[in-house]
Amino acid sequence: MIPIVREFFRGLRERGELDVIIPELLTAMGYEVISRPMIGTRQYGADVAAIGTDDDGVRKLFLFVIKKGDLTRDEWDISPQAVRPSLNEVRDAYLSGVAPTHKGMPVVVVITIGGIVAENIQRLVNGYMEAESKAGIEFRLWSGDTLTGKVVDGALREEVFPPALRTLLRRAAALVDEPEAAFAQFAQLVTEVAGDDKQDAVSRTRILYLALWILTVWAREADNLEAAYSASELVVLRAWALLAPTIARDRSPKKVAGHSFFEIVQLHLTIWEDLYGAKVLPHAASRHALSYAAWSQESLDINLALFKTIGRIAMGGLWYAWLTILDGDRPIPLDKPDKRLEAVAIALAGMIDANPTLYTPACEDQGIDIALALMLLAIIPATRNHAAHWVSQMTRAIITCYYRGSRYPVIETDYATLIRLPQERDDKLRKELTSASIIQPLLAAFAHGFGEREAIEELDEFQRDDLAHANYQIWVPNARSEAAIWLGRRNGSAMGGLKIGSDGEPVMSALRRETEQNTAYTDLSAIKLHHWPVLLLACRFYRLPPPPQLWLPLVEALGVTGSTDRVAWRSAGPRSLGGRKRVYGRLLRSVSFVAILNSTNL
Amino acid sequence: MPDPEPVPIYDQAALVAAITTGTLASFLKDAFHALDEADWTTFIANAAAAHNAGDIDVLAAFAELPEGRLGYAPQIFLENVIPLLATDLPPLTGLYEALTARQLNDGIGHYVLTGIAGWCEADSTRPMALADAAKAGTAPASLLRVALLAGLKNDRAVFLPVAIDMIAKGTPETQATAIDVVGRFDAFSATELSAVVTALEAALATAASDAVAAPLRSLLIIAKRTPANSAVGVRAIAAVATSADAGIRETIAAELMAGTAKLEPRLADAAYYLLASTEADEIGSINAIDQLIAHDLKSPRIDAARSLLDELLARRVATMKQFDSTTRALLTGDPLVRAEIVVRWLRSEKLGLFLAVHDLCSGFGEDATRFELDFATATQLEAERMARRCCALLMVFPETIASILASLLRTGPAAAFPVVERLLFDPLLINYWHGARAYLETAATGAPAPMADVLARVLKRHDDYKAGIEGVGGLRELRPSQHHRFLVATKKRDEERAIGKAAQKESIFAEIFPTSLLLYGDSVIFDYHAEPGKSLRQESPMQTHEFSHELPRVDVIDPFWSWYQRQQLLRGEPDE
Repeated sequence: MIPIVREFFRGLRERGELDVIIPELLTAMGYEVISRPMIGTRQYGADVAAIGTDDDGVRKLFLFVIKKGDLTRDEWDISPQAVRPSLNEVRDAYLSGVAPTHKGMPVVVVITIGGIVAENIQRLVNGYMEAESKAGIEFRLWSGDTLTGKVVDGALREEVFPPALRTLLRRAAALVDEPEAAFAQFAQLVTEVAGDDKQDAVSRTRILYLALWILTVWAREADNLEAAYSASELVVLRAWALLAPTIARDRSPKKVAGHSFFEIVQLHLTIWEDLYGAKVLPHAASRHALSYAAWSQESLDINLALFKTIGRIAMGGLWYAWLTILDGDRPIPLDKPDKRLEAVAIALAGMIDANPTLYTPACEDQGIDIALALMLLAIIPATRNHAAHWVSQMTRAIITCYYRGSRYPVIETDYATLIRLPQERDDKLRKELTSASIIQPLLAAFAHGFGEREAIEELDEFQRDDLAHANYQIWVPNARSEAAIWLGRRNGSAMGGLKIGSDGEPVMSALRRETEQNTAYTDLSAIKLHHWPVLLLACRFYRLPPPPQLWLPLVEALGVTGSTDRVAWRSAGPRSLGGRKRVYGRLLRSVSFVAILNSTNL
Repeated sequence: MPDPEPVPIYDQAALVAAITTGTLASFLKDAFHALDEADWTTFIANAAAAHNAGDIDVLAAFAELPEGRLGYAPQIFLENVIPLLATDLPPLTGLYEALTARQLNDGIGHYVLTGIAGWCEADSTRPMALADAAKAGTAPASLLRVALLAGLKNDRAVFLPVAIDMIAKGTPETQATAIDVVGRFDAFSATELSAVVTALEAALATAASDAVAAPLRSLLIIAKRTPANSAVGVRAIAAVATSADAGIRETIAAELMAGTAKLEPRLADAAYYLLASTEADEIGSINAIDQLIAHDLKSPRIDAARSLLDELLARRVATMKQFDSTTRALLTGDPLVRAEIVVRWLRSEKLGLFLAVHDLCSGFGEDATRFELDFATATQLEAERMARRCCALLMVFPETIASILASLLRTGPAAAFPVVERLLFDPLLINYWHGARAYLETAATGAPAPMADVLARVLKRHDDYKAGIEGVGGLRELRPSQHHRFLVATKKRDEERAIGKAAQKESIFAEIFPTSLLLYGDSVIFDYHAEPGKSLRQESPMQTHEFSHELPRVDVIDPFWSWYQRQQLLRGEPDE
């Protein structure tokens, strides 16, 4: 356990990582954190301040000056963010401005580093601490080993984190390059910790938080964040299950449970940024780049990887949208989104354009990712055209694939079955594989919102002529959802028998009626507490179609507020069918559903 | 010292012993291998003498041999000995029936027919006796041909009228036999031939549609024999021109295929005219036409051959894959002829001709086909259509596409350059990063300015595209899981096994050679039988034959898009 934690501390960055972990550690040790790090500035040299009882039983004011990794000569006294000037600042400025309640308390200034002190400056550091220590002010050094000891003997002490759990964490960390195996170990750990009734919900969440951090740092070292990302989604959901009841009734000013959950979400978004923000989105608009990045000779792998990716990217964007709004029980169109959020949505749109496989979902299950992506693209004004184009062209691609007899969305989700699906047309099998659909009604609803009338007509005609056997459906929460959904247990209700109709009104009416009459949705804790991304995350993670309560108002709002835009959308994107083309050959000749081809103007 | 092995003796006594002990077949095999030509002739003569003296009964001995096909030596023995036998017809036909019954599935052995023909020719009374017996049904009908041929050789004054009478009045079977015999008999005098032709033309004129083939074939055989006879063939073809069906076309094609080198131009033209209406299901005709064209592409009749080829390809009657001899002739023949034909096919509106280029490229085997073509007279419309079709239909031959598009840039209309430029990048270079690119880089060197400019822009665009892809490289997080990789590997292994088995099943090598599996090592040890009783150890290194081909990349990352793009490139094609 110790080596795992020690390496974890060595791998943490200073900003947003080591300085975020330290307060959590202190809280777990029983300290009261009175000052947390602020982005861009140090508070007169100190990154973190806390009040706590020292080993001698005296309450003291602890001031932490934090530095990532090893402490070298550069980091000690030369670089702009060097430690020694910060210590001087603490001595000269911070201590003279201590709050009245803490005046007179003995002060311990703690030099906190993730690694070790380089041998060639040990005497300098020791000399400084000795020279500057006086009555009431003491200097200490917490190295990576010290922090490790405090974690292993404190937050993750054996009583709360027994050997069995440590083994799971160790295995998860060791297997990060085989994410499925690593995640399986970590998921077991999460189940064990979350189910430990001997500790309160916040304590359990804190353990999960630390364990997730440790896994993340190891994953980052291995340049493979897949396990950490999956684990972070799971931790967010399990943390919500643990904390939501407390958050709902917490009237205290500190709102510890809310803060703990927020820390978890922040960590989840940190991982999202490391993976998608840093590694994926910069390349999203490079033609075919992400398709090749899936590293597979099997086109199905590429398709599955990219649809999963757009679902996750969209989820990140939706978290940012929520952070922008921070109120309300559903996403709404934003007139002026913040730059980061808009950049995510634009990159997502670029990714769709650059990777044609995203026009041809391979299985119905991918309707979940499509729904998330459409929600994000529809929220942001700059990407609504892309969303409308994507909906109409995906519609045509699906229909074309269906007639061709391969790579149309099927109800199967089992990978072993999907890779062995015959590529030639087999009418009987095709009927079996298309006996239900969540994608078709979803596309119809968004096409309705975007005013893509031709797409609606094609979807309607496709349903009547070819997919009459298919049960078009949505998923909605039911009375059992609150108790089950955050834990991934079967829940909710399927509403089938949806009819598109030539103008889309039948499906829209059915969706409106259900969203009005369904009361279980508003009873969900994530909705009541205005944390709707948690519900979307649960849908993405446990593979449930996002319920229409979350996206239908958005679709309807597009129809109401987007009237001016809609004119622009029609003239902007590549256009499509000139009329109703039922015959496959005619469809092929008249359809041009991807911008790339249009750009070649052949 | 052990006693030396006794030298076998192949005399009359030994033959009698072999017959009585039932070892005739093996005895003859040993004798055939042991005796030289003179001794074998003596051996045959002695055997015939013994039979004629009543010491042995050769015919009965062979009729009583165990079931199964006769070996080569017994066959030669019979072929040689039968003409020497003083025997009546019934024992001979008895043997013939016994032997043909033993090898029903192998047809009638040539050796026995040759033997009986020799027996007929040895005595002028025998052909007529055999012909009468065959007509009367007391001898097999299939021996009528032997009798007629022997009769024509022995005494045409008697037998030619018999044959002509048979052509005019015989039963359908005897008529067909007589027609075939007079057609193939090549020793007629001019007068005799004239009578034969008259009889055959009469038969052709009066034959029912399903019986036209026989007189037509015989007339064509006669026509091919000397240039002076070619008018016979032209008349015969003219006679069937209005009623030509698949059978007539196959007859003409098959007959002209053999001896095409000697065909008179008029006869060839008449035949080609009729063969141009061949249909797709006439496989026999198509195979024969393939041989005709393959030959004529290297002859003065090249124009007629090209016209016939174009007609059949344009109508999609046949593909160049079916015309494999023609393909080979084009690939190994004059490059200028090949280039001229390829340009015509590429420029044609007919998709069938364009597809012929595809099949032609397949015929190159492992070497990439590269053309240097002249499109100086091509219009913009033709040039753009060619470029689109290349990218839609020749995608498995990237260097070929590159060479054709480069030829368009070098010699084609400048107005088509924008389309060519776009297609060079997408789909060509985004699918093929190496072979096609290397070709274009070479082509850019010393290219005329407009072409060099286009290629520079295309290569730059490709560089940018590759940089975008290589910039991200592989993302571990997007990689399929270990479990999924295992499932894919299992699937691929199953597919490869199935492909391997299918390939082995259809491999001509697998049919010809016995195969054995060697698990280890890089060479094989075997015994070489240098002489009887003596073998030498041989060690031979094993050979590996590898072949690699660049695959279209977009086909891998998104096969649907790749397919759709090809459909779009062919959009508006009249016959697609």
